[in-house]
Amino acid sequence: MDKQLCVLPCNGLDKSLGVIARAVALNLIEKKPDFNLICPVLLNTGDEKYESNLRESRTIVIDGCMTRCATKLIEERNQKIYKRIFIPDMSKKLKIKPGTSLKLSENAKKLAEMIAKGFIEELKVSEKEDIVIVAKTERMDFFDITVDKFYFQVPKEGYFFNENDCWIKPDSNRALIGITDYLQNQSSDIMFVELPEIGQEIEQFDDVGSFESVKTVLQLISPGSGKIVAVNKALEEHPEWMNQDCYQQGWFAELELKDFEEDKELLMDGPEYFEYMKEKILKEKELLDKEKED
Amino acid sequence: MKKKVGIIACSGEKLVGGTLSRAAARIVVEKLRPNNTIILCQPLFMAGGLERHGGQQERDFAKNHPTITIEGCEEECAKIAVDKYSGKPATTIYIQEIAEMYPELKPKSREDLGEDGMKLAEIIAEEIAKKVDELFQSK
Repeated sequence: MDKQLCVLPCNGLDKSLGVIARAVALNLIEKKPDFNLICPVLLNTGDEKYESNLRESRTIVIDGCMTRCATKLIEERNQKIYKRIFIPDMSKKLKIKPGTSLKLSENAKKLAEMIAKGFIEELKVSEKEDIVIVAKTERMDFFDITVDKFYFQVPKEGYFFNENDCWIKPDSNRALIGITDYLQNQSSDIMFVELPEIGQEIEQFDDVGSFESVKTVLQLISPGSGKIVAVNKALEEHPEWMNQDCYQQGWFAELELKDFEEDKELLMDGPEYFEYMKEKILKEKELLDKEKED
Repeated sequence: MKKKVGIIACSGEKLVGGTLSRAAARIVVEKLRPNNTIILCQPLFMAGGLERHGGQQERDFAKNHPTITIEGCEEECAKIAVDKYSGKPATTIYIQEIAEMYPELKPKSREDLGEDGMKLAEIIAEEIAKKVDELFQSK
């Protein structure tokens, strides 16, 4: 290899995945002291040494979660990413759950070590560049609410919702179904999905599949009845789309509707669901604050 | 509903101060003042959050809530970021200043603080908690 390699981790602190990204970077440096470690926060202050390192080297970015903070730092500089390590993908590949603790657990330590070791092996055999997938989605209008630092959105129109925080978007006799922003926020980073079978007949409020995050396993409860005619297979490779874009790219399955007029009687439209969700969030926050006080 | 105080650690990578800042922030938010504080992720703060959320939630929180920055070294990365995106932080804690008062506590490394380093992180966390209380009293 003729060019120096830089390692830029996201260094996130509010999720276990960021803590692991940092540990992977430190592991890489320990194993390959000739790699240059870039501190993402110092880079942001305009550190010239780092800037020139990035210009003159090939950069490995390590992103803990779908916010892709490390990737964004490179994109902002219009520079190319040589390799990208995405912790949720690696966790899935290595079958080691990252856990939720902000303190590096034994499992997380093992995961970080294995990612670093595997990555160095991979570097030896392949220099193929990674492709960062950017998907285009249509513009939508949302109701929104911020509680503490958490932000929740509900589409203003075109979608209907059940009390299980799942949505349905009808279009003639077909409809897409998925989870709401509230549910994706509750579940945190989604890492695995279990999609339904195509052809399966389902009733309204049937459990049509599940998704697993770093925190929990949850079911998608169908807001409509009918036959599954398509599933979003891409979620198996990119479960993070359910977090990033739960109302569009993160759709779960498509239904051929049985009787949506009847289903609709038990559903809420955008404004109604927004009020319902808002009340739920504020109640939960009050309970949580009270619990902590006790 | 009570307003919370944002805690933003520099989270630096190069020095042990960054590791101490992360550990101390976690202790405050998880153990010492869980009800009054919320952790702000410095890299997320810089990146601006998810695009679909307008990329602003961490920055907006710091605009609308008092925020304590914890600096692992003299570069003041957390303070600079808060200043740039959200306005002046309520107060800043300098790890180095506290560490100098406890020369006997030597963190093992930036990868692993060790027993001494964790003790130091607890002391730093206590200092941050005091600042949190002061901010609540001054409201």
